[in-house]
Amino acid sequence: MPPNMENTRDFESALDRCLDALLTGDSIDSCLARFPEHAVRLEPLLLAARQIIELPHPAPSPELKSETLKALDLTPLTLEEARFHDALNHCLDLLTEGKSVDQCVEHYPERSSLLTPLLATASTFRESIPATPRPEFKAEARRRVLSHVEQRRVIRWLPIPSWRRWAYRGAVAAAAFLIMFSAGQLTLRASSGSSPGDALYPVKGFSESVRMTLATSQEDEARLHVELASRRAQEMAAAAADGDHEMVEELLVKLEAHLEEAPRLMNEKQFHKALEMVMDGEGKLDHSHVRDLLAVLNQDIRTNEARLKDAMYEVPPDMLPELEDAIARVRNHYSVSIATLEAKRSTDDLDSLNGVRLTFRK
Amino acid sequence: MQSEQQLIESAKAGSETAFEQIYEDYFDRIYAYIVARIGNRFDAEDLTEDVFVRALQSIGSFKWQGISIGAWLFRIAHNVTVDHHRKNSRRQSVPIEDTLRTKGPSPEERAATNIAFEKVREVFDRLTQAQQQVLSLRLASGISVAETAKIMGKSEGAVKASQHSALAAIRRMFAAEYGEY
Repeated sequence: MPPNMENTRDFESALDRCLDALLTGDSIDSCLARFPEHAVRLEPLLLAARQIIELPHPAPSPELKSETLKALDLTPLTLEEARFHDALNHCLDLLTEGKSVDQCVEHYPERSSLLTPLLATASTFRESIPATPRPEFKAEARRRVLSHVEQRRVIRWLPIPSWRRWAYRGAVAAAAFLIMFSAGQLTLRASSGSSPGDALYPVKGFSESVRMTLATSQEDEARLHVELASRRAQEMAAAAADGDHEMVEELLVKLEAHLEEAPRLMNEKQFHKALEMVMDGEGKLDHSHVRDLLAVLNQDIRTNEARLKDAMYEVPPDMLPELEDAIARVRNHYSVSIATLEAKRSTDDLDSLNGVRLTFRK
Repeated sequence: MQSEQQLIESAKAGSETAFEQIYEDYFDRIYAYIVARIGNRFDAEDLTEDVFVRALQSIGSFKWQGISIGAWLFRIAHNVTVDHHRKNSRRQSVPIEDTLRTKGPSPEERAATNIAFEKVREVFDRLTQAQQQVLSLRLASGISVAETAKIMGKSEGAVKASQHSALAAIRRMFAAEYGEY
């Protein structure tokens, strides 16, 4: 066995024994004294382990344990329990068919004292739910959902081998190229300035989907999400000016989704890069993409806030409170996005990374 | 009339009529499930639409293996509500009275009913995710035990036990909180 592998096994064995000793109340110092040759590597791990051991471990109640076992079918029910469950289940079916509690328990007079309170609870819960959607919303949602069928049908006609990501991108790129440099070019250009409700707005959505598909890296995707967030802010200002409450909320949700996705993608990429560096044992983590994205976000938070505040002069009076709330939410989401990127960058700084690298080298 | 399997195949092939049929068949029940889970009708409407958009985007990967399209949609709805709870855990929710159906012949009775609803709702929010899911599927959407079991990946016995324990837990917590029921 090579010497370094033997050394690793010794270390792992020492770590195992020290962890067992810690769990039985032994001290870190006594462990380190037993394995002085591994003391430097063991100490930080044992300190971390002790912190974990000292975390509170609340014990589940016996009732919760029992209910969990029953829910997992691990505890056999008594015949009586099983019959009661069947009766309750039948009654719940009747309740959902519109029968009253009394009509339900008529079927089980011998169990009525136990069934009635549970069914009353079930009935109150059912009545507390506004169980039917507003018809106008349902119709409007149908229109929006079905508009996606058309978009999907366009994409389906592209010759895409589903298991080849690059081939897929290539095919989409070719289609996009054809669209952009043929008759569709003018339409695409015209659609870029369209607002929700415009005839060309679905084209804009489609072109954004194509651009997202064509993004060749997570950094590119993150940048595109930031750009699209800004577009949604622009559209929100227009929708607010039109007094379209529903559209403002819809665009706000989309904007928030873009601002959540951007730092997630960027941080994921940085994490993978950091991991590769640690495994290679050399190199410096490049934060330039993160810095660039932060610069754009810092610029956009100001631009979009100003844009939405300007819209306050144009919106109908009943839109003002909603727009004020939307501005606060936009500001908050940009701040969270920036803070998420900043926090990740500081934890990935070179010193902490060097610490990890040293641990791996040892 | 198309069988469900034919309907799915047509929808996968891009048939607007087929997807519209699925939409009509399930929209109300998916909405009822979501509104029961989150207690806010406005968010529930948006999330219901989101379920169908997601379904449309991924229907190409739906495989006919005995699981109904309904079970599949309810699983999407479950994921959507879990995401919603995660995203909104720090966000202020709409006052519950704005979201509840108002019933009752007089304003006094209506107010009393709303208070009862609100209290039940508060207690419901403290149930486990699985208990909330089972009550929402069974009582709000009116899904059968067999189908609920498929959606939740549990046995029918486990679903029956879960709905019993959920209702009992609501009563117990309600009594502890408000002294009577």
